[in-house]
Amino acid sequence: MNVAERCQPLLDVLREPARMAALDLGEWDRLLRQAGAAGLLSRLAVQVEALGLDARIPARVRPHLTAARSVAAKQRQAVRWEARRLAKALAGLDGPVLLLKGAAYALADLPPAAGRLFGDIDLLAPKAQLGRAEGALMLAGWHASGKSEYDQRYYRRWMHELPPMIHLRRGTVLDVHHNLLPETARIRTRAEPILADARPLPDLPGLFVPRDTDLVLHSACHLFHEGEWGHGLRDLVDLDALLRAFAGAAFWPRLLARAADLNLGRPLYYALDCCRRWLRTPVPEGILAACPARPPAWQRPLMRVLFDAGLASAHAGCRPPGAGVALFLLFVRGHYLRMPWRLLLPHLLHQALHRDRPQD
Amino acid sequence: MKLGELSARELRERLADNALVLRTGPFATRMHSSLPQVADGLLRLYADFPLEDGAFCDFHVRVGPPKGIRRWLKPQINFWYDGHSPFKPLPANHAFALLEWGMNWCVAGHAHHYLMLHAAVLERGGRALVMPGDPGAGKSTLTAALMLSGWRLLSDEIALIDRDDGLLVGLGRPVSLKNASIDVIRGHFPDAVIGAPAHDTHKGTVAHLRPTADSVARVGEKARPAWVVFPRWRKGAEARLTPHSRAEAFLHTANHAFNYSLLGELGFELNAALMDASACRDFEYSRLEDAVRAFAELAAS
Amino acid sequence: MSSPSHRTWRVPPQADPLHRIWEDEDVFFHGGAGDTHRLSAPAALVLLRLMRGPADETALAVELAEAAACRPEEAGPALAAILQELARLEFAEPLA
Repeated sequence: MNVAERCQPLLDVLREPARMAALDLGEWDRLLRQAGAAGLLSRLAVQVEALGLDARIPARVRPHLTAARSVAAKQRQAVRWEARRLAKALAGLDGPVLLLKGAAYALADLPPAAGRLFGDIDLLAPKAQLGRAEGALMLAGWHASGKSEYDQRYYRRWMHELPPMIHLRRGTVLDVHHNLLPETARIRTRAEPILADARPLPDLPGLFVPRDTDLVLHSACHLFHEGEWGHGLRDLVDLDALLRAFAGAAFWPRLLARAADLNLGRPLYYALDCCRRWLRTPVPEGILAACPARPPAWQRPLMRVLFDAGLASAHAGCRPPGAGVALFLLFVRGHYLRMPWRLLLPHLLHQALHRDRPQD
Repeated sequence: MKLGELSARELRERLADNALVLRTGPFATRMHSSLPQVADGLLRLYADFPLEDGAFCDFHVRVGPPKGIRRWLKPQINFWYDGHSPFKPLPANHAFALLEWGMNWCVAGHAHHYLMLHAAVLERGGRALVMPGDPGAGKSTLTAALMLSGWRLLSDEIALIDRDDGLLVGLGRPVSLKNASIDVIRGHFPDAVIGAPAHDTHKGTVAHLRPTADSVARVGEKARPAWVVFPRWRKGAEARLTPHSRAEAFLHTANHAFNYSLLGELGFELNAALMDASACRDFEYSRLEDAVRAFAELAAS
Repeated sequence: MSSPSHRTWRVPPQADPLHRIWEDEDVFFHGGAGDTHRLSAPAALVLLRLMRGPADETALAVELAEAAACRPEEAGPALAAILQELARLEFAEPLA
């Protein structure tokens, strides 16, 4: 059984949501579990409603979809409210502050937002503004979360973001970035063009979202540079929804040019390849071939095996044999991409030695 | 088929094969465990509950030893929800209590098609009594005593409110008794069936009380809210019902709910409808027989 | 710019408040924030007035004074405190 077969019926209904009308109870049992583990149940539930399929869903299943829609609605309300708080807190800052990923989709009403669940709120600010942003956020109630001194130093010295900030009362978590990739990453990219071309959010003065090409590139860069794949399929669904919404004769060449400009051709290639194979995203053939910085041909099948294991990893029933090895390799790869060995080895050693210590 | 129609051996085999699907109110749970403690507990407390063929299950759970070297040194057990373990491992002899907590977690974490308040619910004469209560207030003891005195148990921990009609939905699962209340119930109701106690849990000693046959048989009947009562056990107190502010009851139930905040506006409307439909009371008592009498009078009024 | 005492107040568009009253105790839900609050009777009076539409401080003081059977000047300090509290909870904001 290949990965695609293992991930049925989830993969089928992600490709073609209308198929949910034809599933029997046994298939729903599998689908609810696969989608729940992958963080995609709310999205499917919202699609059932949008397609008017409710009456064709078995009565035993409907309550699960109702519940999942409530979860998504609450998260959307909460992220909108949090964005208002952020706009107020950061009002005095020079230069744009960008919402990234889930928060950007929700506030700009982009297609991936429908039924999407959120974790932390990701922000991108000019590096020169980071200190002031941190100060303003602290005044508004966000504080560096319970990280050890080592973590604090590690973040500030090597990473592309502040240590996560948690709101004292509401418990929401912010990740404030100044670039898409760490300072130490093997691929270097620049945040300035993304900041410069961001689109303002009409109701939230001072807050912006990246322009279309940059939303895709950031999502791709995030997914294919991470070592943790628990949300992998959810992130691929984001990419699919973005690409379907933006696709057009003018979009593809702009996307490729921007990828070259930002030095993000490699993650874009992986994103387009996985989107096409997993979700049947309509990516024109020539676009993939024209992608800058494609991996060499001999590497591609190997990387596919790894990414497929990562994308299938959320639910035990989807995982292919040998997934454990593949996930470990992805984890190592994630760290390898993040920093050179002379930094990576001491860091992993520190993490391994301190893993069991409570953080206070 | 009811669970009690299985022999102890058949039950153990089904559990070990991940082939036991138990219906508790609106939910069907597929259970997987090879621990005799789990089978024994189910047989003792869930005998009246129906089994299903399992084409579709709401929850898939497993209780068993965790992996790793530690289990050879100190026997432990853990709970898995569809392959994911939300809790830390516990000592092996807490297996049945862990299954009960795990089943509560399944409902509280997923059943957002209901408003879920932290309260016991009982019914008499078609009218529902909702009892929120802080830990240590004697809520479980009172719930157990009322159930054993003719009230129908809907739930001892999670009040489920249907979003379509505002009615209370039953689970009918065992009542969790803690510490001294285990012996209090044994003393007052010698026929009560109580499972093996788990000692030294984070809640102290915990044992579960088998629900009455009537509670299990009629679990599908929804109940209209009539009273919201905040019980409090106080040494030497005369049993007494006194008015309780509805606004305060609203805020208390909202603050202690499992998903009031998640449901947003709907949570507000459903909880407000509960208060609109209910008389709100404080209830103080020391002697269980007085308490049972006071509630019988309330039900007759 | 109008003087502070003549500012007009409104319920922010995202607040979507809901209200219930039981035995003279008022509970409000803030739809935007998802928070629930119990408000004092005078604060509830002001918020319920704003939920019907924007109002300036003079009109609000008159209503508050009528309910409390006092003169509008006497209601002024209480109104200022109420508006400050409603603004903190984002149930009210001055119109720019």
